[in-house]
Amino acid sequence: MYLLKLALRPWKASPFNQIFTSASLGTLLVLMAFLMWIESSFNPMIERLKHEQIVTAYLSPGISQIDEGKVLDSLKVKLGASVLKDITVGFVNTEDFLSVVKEHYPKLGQELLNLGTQMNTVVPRFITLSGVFSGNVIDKIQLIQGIESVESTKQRYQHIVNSFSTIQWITRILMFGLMSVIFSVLLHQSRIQAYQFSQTASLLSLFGAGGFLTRVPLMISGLLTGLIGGLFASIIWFQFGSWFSDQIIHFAPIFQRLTLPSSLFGVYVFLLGIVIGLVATIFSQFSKRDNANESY
Amino acid sequence: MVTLTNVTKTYFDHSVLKGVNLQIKKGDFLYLIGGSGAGKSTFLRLLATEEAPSLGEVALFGYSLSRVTPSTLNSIRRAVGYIPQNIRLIPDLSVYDNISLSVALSGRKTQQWKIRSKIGELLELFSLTEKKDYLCKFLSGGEAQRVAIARALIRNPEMIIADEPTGAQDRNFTWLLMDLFQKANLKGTTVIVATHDREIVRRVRRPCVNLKDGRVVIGENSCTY
Repeated sequence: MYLLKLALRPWKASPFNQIFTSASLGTLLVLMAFLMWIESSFNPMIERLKHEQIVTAYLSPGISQIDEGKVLDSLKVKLGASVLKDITVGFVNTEDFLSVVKEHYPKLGQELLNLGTQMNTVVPRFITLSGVFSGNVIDKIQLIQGIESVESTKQRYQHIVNSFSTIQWITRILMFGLMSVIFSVLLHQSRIQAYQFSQTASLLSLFGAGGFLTRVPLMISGLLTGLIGGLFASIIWFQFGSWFSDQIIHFAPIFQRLTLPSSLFGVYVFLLGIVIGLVATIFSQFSKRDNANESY
Repeated sequence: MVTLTNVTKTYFDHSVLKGVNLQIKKGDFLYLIGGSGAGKSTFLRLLATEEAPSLGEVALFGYSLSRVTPSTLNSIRRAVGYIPQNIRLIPDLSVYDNISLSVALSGRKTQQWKIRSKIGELLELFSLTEKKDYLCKFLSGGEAQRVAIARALIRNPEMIIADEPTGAQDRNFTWLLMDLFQKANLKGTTVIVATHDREIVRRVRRPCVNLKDGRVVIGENSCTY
């Protein structure tokens, strides 16, 4: 009880200072939660972009319409059931291609039709495979008889993946910086409190209190700052976290694969506030003590 | 009980105590006298374990303080009732809390109602009953000093170290306090009182340790300075 009363001394002496510190801590923790969400939700997106690809296998012009099915079957056999279960296979034949061209460019469609039998050398027929592939799938497809060439979109997303990875690293650096700022602010606050408390601590010690006991009030005080800051951050996150994340997700189509933040982030920032408050207070007590009077 | 061996205390090249040798037995009651700046408070701070000597050795209850473990040092401190000259209360705790905290830190297992009752008696005796819930920062110098005295007495210490305990008190309280010290001494408590008050030394006759130029003078005329 006494320890709690001593711990509450800074709160009684300068409540606005303490509340302001906690609110600042809370705000920084919300930012931290936001960065944590960005950092973690980029991962599945980057992974998907890194491994997902659309492979387009163009049929040789010499393949007749009857043999198109055989080429498709050969491709399926070559890839095997285990690969096929994770990918989508589509086939675009001459009619499909022409119908799309006619829809968007009617004149061009008509000109292609006018080519007659020569049309097969101009209009592409292709098999599309979309999904996550292993490395040598393109090589396998290229070996199939009736396939003229194979293209993959794998390299197409490389610059996006690089950009996302860079953003992810910047986020991590920002998180580290933010942690340092939070820790420094609390460390300095705790040091000031430790200085103010030093007379009381030495008195408690003189009356027989052990080292831990003399530190407990400061630890409780730091814990309280962290707890209130964490609570503040947690409330803001629960109230506005989803809304804010939603705004980000709808900001650009590329972000639409970002997952909505888990409500656990609110709990994380709350716990983080408590831990940082406590750890900063413990660290603040490692400062060199004035020992001019040669105490025991 | 207390043994000082060649104790020297130096602050910034100025020696306040110079090679002091002294032995105080359990149950002794003695005055520490000397002029202003003679080193009385320094001497008591060494006994109260608040400071360590620059040279020499201080032993309390048979333990050399330079060699004790932190837990033994805490146990020694719990057995001492120290009334510092500069009072040193915890300003943001109430009068009652300052006193009861002292009991809590003494490590004695006493029932709460007994502690409350004993604190009540002391507050009544020291005319502090009405101020028991006051924060100590709002007390006058004399009241604060009485709280500091109550804080030391409440723990039934084996040794009372009082540094000018009557400096801010009227005569009535001075004799009341000396009476309390004598009663405690009769129960076996060692009492060491630093004082400037010649009348106390004259009326309550006890041995004196006279500090002069940082050295201890003990003898027939030691109670005069």
